[in-house]
Amino acid sequence: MIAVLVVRHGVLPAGALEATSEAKGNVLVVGSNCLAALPELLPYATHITTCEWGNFAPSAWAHALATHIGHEQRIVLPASPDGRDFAAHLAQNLQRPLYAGALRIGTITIELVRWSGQAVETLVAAPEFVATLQVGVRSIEEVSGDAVITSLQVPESFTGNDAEVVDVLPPDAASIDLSEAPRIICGGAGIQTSSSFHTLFDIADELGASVGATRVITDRSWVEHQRQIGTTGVVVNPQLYIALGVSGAVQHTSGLGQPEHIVSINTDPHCPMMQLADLGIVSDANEVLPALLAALKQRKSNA
Amino acid sequence: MPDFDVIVVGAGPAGSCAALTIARTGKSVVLIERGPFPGSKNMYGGVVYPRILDALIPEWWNEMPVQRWVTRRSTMLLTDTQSLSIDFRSDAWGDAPYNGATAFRPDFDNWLANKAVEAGATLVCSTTVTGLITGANGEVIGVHTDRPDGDLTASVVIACDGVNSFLAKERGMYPHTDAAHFTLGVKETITLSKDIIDERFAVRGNHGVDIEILGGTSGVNGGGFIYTNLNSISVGVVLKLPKLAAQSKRPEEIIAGLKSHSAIAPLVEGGTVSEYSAHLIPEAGLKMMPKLLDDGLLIAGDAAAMCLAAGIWLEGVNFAMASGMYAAQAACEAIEKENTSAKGLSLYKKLLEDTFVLRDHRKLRRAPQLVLSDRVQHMYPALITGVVQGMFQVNNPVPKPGLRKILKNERRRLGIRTTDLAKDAITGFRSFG
Amino acid sequence: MTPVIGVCVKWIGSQPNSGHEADARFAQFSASDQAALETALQRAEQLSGRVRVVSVAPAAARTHLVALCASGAHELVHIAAEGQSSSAHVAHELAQHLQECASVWCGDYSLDRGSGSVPAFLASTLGAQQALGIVGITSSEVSNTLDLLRRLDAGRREIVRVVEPFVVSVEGSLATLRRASLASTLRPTATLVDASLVSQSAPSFGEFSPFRPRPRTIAAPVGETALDRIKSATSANSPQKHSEIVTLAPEAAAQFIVERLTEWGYLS
Ligand SMILES: Cc1cc2nc3c(=O)[nH]c(=O)nc-3n(C[C@H](O)[C@H](O)[C@H](O)COP(=O)(O)OP(=O)(O)OC[C@H]3O[C@@H](n4cnc5c(N)ncnc54)[C@H](O)[C@@H]3O)c2cc1C
Ligand SMILES: Cc1cc2nc3c(=O)[nH]c(=O)nc-3n(C[C@H](O)[C@H](O)[C@H](O)COP(=O)(O)OP(=O)(O)OC[C@H]3O[C@@H](n4cnc5c(N)ncnc54)[C@H](O)[C@@H]3O)c2cc1C
Ligand SMILES: Nc1ncnc2c1ncn2[C@@H]1O[C@H](COP(=O)(O)O)[C@@H](O)[C@H]1O
Repeated sequence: MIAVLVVRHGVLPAGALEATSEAKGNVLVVGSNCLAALPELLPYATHITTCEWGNFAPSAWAHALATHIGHEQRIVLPASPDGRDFAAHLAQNLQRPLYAGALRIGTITIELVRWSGQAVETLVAAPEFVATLQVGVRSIEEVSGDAVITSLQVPESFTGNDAEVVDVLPPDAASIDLSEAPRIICGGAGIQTSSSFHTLFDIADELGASVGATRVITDRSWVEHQRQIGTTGVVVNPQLYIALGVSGAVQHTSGLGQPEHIVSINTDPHCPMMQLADLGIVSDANEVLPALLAALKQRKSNA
Repeated sequence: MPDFDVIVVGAGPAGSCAALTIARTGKSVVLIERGPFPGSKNMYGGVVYPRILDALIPEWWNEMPVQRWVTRRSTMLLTDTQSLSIDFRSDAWGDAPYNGATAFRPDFDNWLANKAVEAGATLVCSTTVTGLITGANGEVIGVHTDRPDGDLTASVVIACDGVNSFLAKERGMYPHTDAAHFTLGVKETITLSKDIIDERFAVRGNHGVDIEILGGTSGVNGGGFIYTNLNSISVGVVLKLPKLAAQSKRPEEIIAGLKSHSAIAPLVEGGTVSEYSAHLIPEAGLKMMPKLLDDGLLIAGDAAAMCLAAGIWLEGVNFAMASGMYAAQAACEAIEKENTSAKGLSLYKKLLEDTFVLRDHRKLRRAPQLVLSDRVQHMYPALITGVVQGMFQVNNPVPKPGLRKILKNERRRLGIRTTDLAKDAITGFRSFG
Repeated sequence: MTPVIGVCVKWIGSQPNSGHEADARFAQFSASDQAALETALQRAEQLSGRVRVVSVAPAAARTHLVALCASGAHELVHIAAEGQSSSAHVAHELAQHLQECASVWCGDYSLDRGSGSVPAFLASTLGAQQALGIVGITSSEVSNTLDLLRRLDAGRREIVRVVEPFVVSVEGSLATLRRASLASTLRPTATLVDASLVSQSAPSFGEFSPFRPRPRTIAAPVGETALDRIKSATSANSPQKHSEIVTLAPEAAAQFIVERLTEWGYLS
């Protein structure tokens, strides 16, 4: 098995290390400024092949790399945006099935995440395939010994019809703030109105916390996308994480890191977020919000 | 030229029967429904009496989506600690032409609407009628809808838009209505396996039970019901609005109270609630019926308050289907005679008068008041169960008292005046006798 | 020549393993598919083009597809297929009817499969450029080129420039589908093309089960003696971590949270 990682300006994609561990340390790194990505990768890799190429070009890369990694029966990419885009092209070129959104790649079966993380489909895997591995579903494992590093030169004759990358915009201030915040209070679809959601900011002020949201909330445009936590949002790693009306879909929890304390307020005691929580409270988040704000203010005025 | 001969608003049982009847005559008809499909938004207790369909859909029982055929009907009287059931079973109700059936409205309404479509009606879903269009002389000539370019015209509009009809109100056809004219129906669907239902309710195959309950509604005037579906049961209560508000109890608490009664708990035990819904019911019968027709406009079904609901009685679908059908016949006649004024449409009233629709309502016009009255609600169940307890209780060595004596004692104990009892008995006899 | 703009929409039937079979009559098209159709309609207006909706879908989806197209699509190609097949196969079938399209618009993820790979397979099959997971359109001139904003991971975003023919997948928040007029709902104007599969694929359906997170491997415990290692593996000596689920009224819940936060040292 080999992990294929798309690197942009030396930045590894989300889930890169997990894919590396799933492939037992055997990786191909392709993109721009690959060498800059190596230090982060080294503790987890046994073999690293770098392929310096410049801007993301899934169609051309798939043509070129197919011949170089075609002997690998199992190819895995992280289910990051670039991973998703590239995996289909690789599978098409290699004439193999694509298993998108894997939870686990077993020796015989493969488990795929379906229905936004609510269900798992288990299939008997074909002998040769391309898969994408959900971000945040497995632990990462350091390997002993030094990695063998080789580089791959691809003749320039390989071209494809690819979109032109005009610009890559760095995460902006709000999301940096969030990704480094030690305390996060996060709202999900259980919160019914935009104004309820904005109570989160007042509570965050009281707690010295930052506000995060699930994709359902950013899709409703209640906050800017930079506040979205998860695979296609910001990856955070707070000490304290308070979730209100968040179900805990993998795409969300994968961006959560390993908080020391998790509080979840949800009407459904059985949802994944409640299972993860140190303190799970079955209650209506919309009503807990003003009560919590009042309780925190009360506490301050008592002090 | 109007866009259609007839516009029918609302694809409930009334609307679909109207559209089906019109389409059968070859006239053009559009059926407008606000839900994503007919029945998607509709709830009710759970039993329909579809014999009125005999004329429209011969052997309807072979195709109608049914949960179970009702072969057992019980009426239950509950006090806090007692229950009395009158139980009737008829094997004949389990065979064609049947009597009543439990059915799910999304299935039933959708089926009926599709019959209309098969007959040539045009069905438009996810579209809400927002008002009436009137012509030069104030006659109704069409409707506005919430879609872009959403106006439609027709010779006749039939409003079948359900209880509290927005269209009838807009047209000022309702007499003054107040909350006392409505009850609130709330219902839980509780999933249980078919085997358990068969065993608990003592039925087999696709036979089912309809239980009406008087009492057990936590002191709020109203009634309860339990119906068996194939793999679930419907448990609900019908509550008188002013009382409900005065006692500031939540409907779900009242259902919970009913479910915990020692006579009901064993029936619902172990089930999971898969659905909860609530809906208004026009309760006052004849008293609140709007004007049924106007120039270019007919009103049918719940929109015309043609729902026979007297606490423990819940028949509406059959009245809705019948009135929809009659409205359609009147509309067709009027269009053929090229007079769609109120006068031209007056056949509708005659058809209603001549059939069970208004006859039953007239006959039962005092029933709702009686059934929901404080005496029937709070005293008679205690009286009757008290009498029965007196008869069945064995107090050896004290000899059994005579029935008359028990009745007298119980009446005294509960403070019921003989004159009231006699009066209610007469009303009851006139209504139900 | 009038440009043809393709839109791929997927009709989602019932959800397996939700405990409760969803009612297929409530089934819908995802917000992102609707956004794709809306964006395509807007582009067609700009380019005076025609919109062709293509779907691989079971017979039960037919009325829903027709209703969807009433919002302004010119053609509907319904490729009849019951059951699921692989994303590659679906894309291959869709591509048969999208060959001459100047652009193809898809939703970013379907609700059920949720792999987001059909659009990538489409681009690869059609030899077209791709831009997936679009959240914004940054250029406004009418030409055969578009600048699009899309999400990358970890809060980064990129602007890509695509030249026709291209395949785009869009997020649901990009646009809200306009409501179909009453006239087009009553009398569908889209030309309906009935198509059938050009190739069969083995249905790729596995066993469904509820989601369970994958267990995480924990580092080997450290310690001098076996007892120490057991203690460290089970955190026997460290303060017990609270893990509790309680049902509380809102005020009580708030109080309880404040209590715990104080205990954990977040409030002093
Ligand atoms: C490829 C892909 C990428 C994705 N990327 C991300 C991502 O980066 N970040 C992200 O967050 N999501 C992402 N998602 C979406 C993700 O799969 C989930 O759909 C999303 O996280 C769910 O958000 P939610 O928990 O707010 O909503 P839901 O899953 O709808 O959950 C709402 C919760 O609120 C509870 N609730 C309801 N009412 C109340 C109430 N009154 N009080 C308390 N609780 C209540 C419910 O019980 C439920 O648990 C992605 C999806 C895909 C397919
Ligand atoms: C709790 C409860 C229990 C009941 N139990 C029973 C029972 O067991 N048996 C029985 O026979 N009856 C029962 N009934 C009564 C029965 O449900 C009604 O009498 C019957 O549904 C009336 O049919 P209808 O077609 O007049 O109206 P509805 O069934 O209410 O249909 C009205 C239709 O119009 C649509 N609509 C409304 N406004 C608009 C608009 N502006 N534009 C477009 N569409 C619109 C609605 O979506 C709906 O589809 C019960 C009622 C309740 C509330
Ligand atoms: N059967 C289908 N028919 C038409 N379009 C589809 C089909 N399946 C997927 N798509 C398109 O591809 C997008 C992503 O789906 P998926 O790759 O299944 O996550 C959807 O939003 C649709 O636009």
